Amino acid sequence: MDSGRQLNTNPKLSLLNELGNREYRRGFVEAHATDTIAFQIRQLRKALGWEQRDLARELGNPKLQPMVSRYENPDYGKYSVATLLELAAAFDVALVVRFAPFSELVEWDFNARPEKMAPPRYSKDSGLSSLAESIKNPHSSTGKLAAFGEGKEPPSVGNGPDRFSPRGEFLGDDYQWENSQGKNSPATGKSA
Amino acid sequence: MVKNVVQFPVTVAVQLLLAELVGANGIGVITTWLAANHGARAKFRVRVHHLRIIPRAEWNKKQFRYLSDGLAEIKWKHSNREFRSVGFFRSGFFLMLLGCTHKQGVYDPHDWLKTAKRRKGEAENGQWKTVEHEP
Repeated sequence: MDSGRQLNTNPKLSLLNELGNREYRRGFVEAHATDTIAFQIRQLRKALGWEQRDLARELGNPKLQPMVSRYENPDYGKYSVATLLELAAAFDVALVVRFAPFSELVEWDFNARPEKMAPPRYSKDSGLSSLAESIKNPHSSTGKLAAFGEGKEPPSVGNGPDRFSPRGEFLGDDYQWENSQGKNSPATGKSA
Repeated sequence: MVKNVVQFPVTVAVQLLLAELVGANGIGVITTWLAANHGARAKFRVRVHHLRIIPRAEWNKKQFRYLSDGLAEIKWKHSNREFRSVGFFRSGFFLMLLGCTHKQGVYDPHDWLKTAKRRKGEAENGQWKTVEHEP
């Protein structure tokens, strides 16, 4: 601003500090849940070139258009899981409803991008073919990344020789994978 | 003959930058207004966050509404109360002039629009200090 000072605090660190307050945390979770869903419904609908009545038709009743308008209001916040599932089916995208650690929500907040707001529908989800490729070829970089889902320890960034970039890209092929399934495995939660 | 064609992106993402007036206490008026209300502050942050992700053409009046005299407001809801941060665009920033709440027809402060218009004029005349605001 012309007559004011520049901000000298890191907004990301400032958020982490704010989360120390319980009321702030609650508001943050609430706002992310309701705002994100509302914005996503609108973005997904627009990405498909649909009017609100088109989405209502997909939901089974064109007369539900006022309801769609309500769903797109970020202050609405009264969605049932059943409604969200119907919307997910109409858009042909997945729905993830689960409790999560705050760190995960903060990461989503930091990394939110317009393309994440309107995820591709099943037929355009290139991530699925990448997954299939990684399963067929587990020694490729994507294959090793896919192995996270099989209870293997993910390599930690900045710990030892850097084999992954800060963005999680695989940098070298000499990584020795931990084969002991039980060792600090998230699946068992116990140490060997 | 092939002409050089300069292609511009169809949509240009313009960051929503915020600023606020500095009150008599030396602190921004919106910062002061939201200081004690942690929940409302968190929701303001997330609302701004989403407005920054979504192209401006996609904003709707439930989140951001233009008022008269070049004023506009960022809107959000907390504890069944509507919160509004009223301001105007100036030098690439949305300069926030005051905060206001609304519930069942009752505005707090009741003369929010009059005050906003007065402050806008004063800010344009350089009578207020301003400061960047990051929710």
